[in-house]
Amino acid sequence: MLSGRSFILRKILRYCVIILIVITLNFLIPRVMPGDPLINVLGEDAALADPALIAKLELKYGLDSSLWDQYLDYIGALFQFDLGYSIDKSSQVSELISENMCNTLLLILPALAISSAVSLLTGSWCGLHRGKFLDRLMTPASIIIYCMPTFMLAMIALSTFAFHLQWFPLGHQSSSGLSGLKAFFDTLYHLALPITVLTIIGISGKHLVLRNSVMQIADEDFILVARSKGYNEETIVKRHVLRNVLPPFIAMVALNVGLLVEGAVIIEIIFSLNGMGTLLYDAVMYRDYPLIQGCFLVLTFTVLISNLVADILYGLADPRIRDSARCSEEIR
Amino acid sequence: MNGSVLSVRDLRVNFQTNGSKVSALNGVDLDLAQGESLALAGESGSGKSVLAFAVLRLLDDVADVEGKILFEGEDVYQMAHGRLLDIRGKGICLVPQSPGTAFDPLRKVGVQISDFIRKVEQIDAADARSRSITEMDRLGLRPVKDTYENYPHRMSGGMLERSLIACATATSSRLVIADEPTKGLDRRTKDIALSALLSTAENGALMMITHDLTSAKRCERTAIMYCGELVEIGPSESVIEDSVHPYTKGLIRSMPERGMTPIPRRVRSDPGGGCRFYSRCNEASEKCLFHPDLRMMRGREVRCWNVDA
Repeated sequence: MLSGRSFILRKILRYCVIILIVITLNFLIPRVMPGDPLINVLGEDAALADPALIAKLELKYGLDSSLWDQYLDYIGALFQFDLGYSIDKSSQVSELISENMCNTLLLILPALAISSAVSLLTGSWCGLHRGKFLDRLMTPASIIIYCMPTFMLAMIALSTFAFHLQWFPLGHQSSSGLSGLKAFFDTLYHLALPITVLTIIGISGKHLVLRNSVMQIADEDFILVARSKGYNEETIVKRHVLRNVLPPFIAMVALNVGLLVEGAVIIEIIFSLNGMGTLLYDAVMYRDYPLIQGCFLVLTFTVLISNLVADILYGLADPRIRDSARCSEEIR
Repeated sequence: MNGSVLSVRDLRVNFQTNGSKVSALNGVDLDLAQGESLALAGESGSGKSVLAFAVLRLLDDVADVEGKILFEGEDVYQMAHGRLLDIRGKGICLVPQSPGTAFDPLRKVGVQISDFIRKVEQIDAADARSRSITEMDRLGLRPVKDTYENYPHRMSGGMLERSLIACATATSSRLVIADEPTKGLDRRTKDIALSALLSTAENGALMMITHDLTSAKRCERTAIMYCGELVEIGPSESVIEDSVHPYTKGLIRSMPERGMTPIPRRVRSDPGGGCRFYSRCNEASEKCLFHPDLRMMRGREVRCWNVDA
C-alpha cells in the first residue's frame, strides 16, 4: 500500500516536469518571435551604423552564443532567481516583479479569502434551501456575473461608485505621504472597490458550483440512509453534506486562483493600480522581452502552485482520488 | 394492541409526478407481533420498499401518505419530531437496499457502523468500536481490522451489504426492516446473514423484504405484495409450499428450481377498479372485474374471488 507521503511526492515530481516545460516555452517563444531584441532597443539604423556596437551588446546580453547555451544560461540564472535585466525600465526584472507582485497579492488574497468564505456559506445554504428568497436572488445573479467580462464589471463599478457617486477614488493604490495606521486605511479606501469587484467575480463561480454540489449530495442515497438512522439534519449537513462538498470546493478554489490572477491583471489596468497586470501591460507595449518572460513565468508559477496545493488537498480530502491515483500508477 | 410491535392500517401512498398521481400502496394492513419475523415478497415496483420508507416516515417530502402506522402503539405520523428521530435507528432499524450507495463515500465503513451503534446505544467510542468489530467478524467480514478501516469504494457489494446488516444486528432495535438483505451474497454468507437477522426478532420483530422465496421460508410468516396490495399473507410454509393466490403460484413457478416459467404479460400501469392482477391472471372470471378483499382461507388471508375454503 502506498502511503500519503509518496502520493504527494509523485505529485510534486509531476509538477516539476510541467515547470520545466513552462520554462522552456517561456524561453523559446520570445526567441521564435520575429525581430531582434537589440534592434528594438537601438532602432533600425543601429545595425547598419555600428556592427561593432551590436557585437559588443550581443556579448553583454549573452546573445552571441548558440540557442542551447543560451537556454542553459537561462536555466542556470533562474536557479539563482535571476530573471534578467529589463531593457525598458532599466532595472532587475526580479526586483520589478517582487515589488509589483506584492500589490497584486494585496488584491488577490483578500478577494480569494472573502469570496471562498462567502460562497461556502451562500452556496451550501442555497443548495439546502432551494427556491427560498436568497437562492432565487443569488443564483441568477451569479450566472449573470459569471458570464460578464471582468473589464465590464470593473467599468460599471468604477463609473457608478467612483465617478457618479464619488464614494471611492477613481484609481491608484494610495495617497502619498501617509504612514502607519493612516496609510493602512488609505490603502483600504483605495483598494476597496477593486477588491470588491474581484470578490464578486470569485463568489459568482464558486457559489454556483457549491450550490449544485450540495444539491446533488443532499439527494444521495447515503443522506436518506442517515435520515433513516435517526440523525438530525444538523449532523447530516455537517458530517455528510459539507464533508462531501469539500473536494469539489477545493478544486473550485484552485481554479479560481487562475481566474483571479487573470482578473487582477485587467482590474489593475482599469483602476490604474501598480501590480503584475500593469507591469505586464507595459512590458508588452514596449516589447521588453526579459520582463514579459519574467512576468509570465511568475504568473504561471502562481497558478501552478495553487493547483499543486489543491491536488494535494484533494487527495487528502477524498480517499477515492487517492486510490485512483494509485491505480493509474500501478497500471503504468 | 398487546405485544404488537408494528401495526399498519389502511396505508395508502401516492406519488405526484408531473401532475399525474402514481399510487404505490393501496390500503395495506399489516401486523407484526413481538418475536415475529415476516418476509415481504413481490415483483419490483410492487411497493415493498415504499412500505419500509413509509414506516420510518421518510416519504413526507415526496409523497402523500394516508392511513395509520403504529409502532408499539404510538402513531408514527402524529409524534413529535424529536421522538421520531429517536425511533428511527433505535426503535426501527432499516437495512437499506443498494449497499453501494448507502455509505458515505468519504468515511470509513467501520467508523460509520461504530457511529451508529454509539448513537443508538449511547456507549463510548471504544465500546462501539469493539462491538462493531465483533459483529463484522460474526458476519464474515475478514480480516476484520482491515475491513473496519476500509472506505466503501474499496469493498464489494456483498461486503457492504453485510456491513449494513451489521448496523442492525449489533444494536438491539425493536424492529428491523431489511430491504433485500441477501442480495449479492453467496450461499454460506447468506446463511450467516439470515441467521443474524432472524436473531434480531428476539428483541422485537423482523420484516424482511426479499425476492428470494427460499430465504422467505425461514421467516415465520410471508406476505406477497402485488401492485401496492397484499394478496396473500400467512405462515410461510403454507404461503410458499401450498400457495393459493394465482399471483403467488406464478411467483413460485418462476423460481429456477420450480420450472422458471415467468408470469405472462407486464404489470398494468393503471390496474382499473377490479382485481389488480386480473389482466395477467390465468384463473380470472367475471367476478374479478370487482375488487376482492382479503379473506381468511385455508389458514391464510387471500385476496382472490376464485379461491374456495
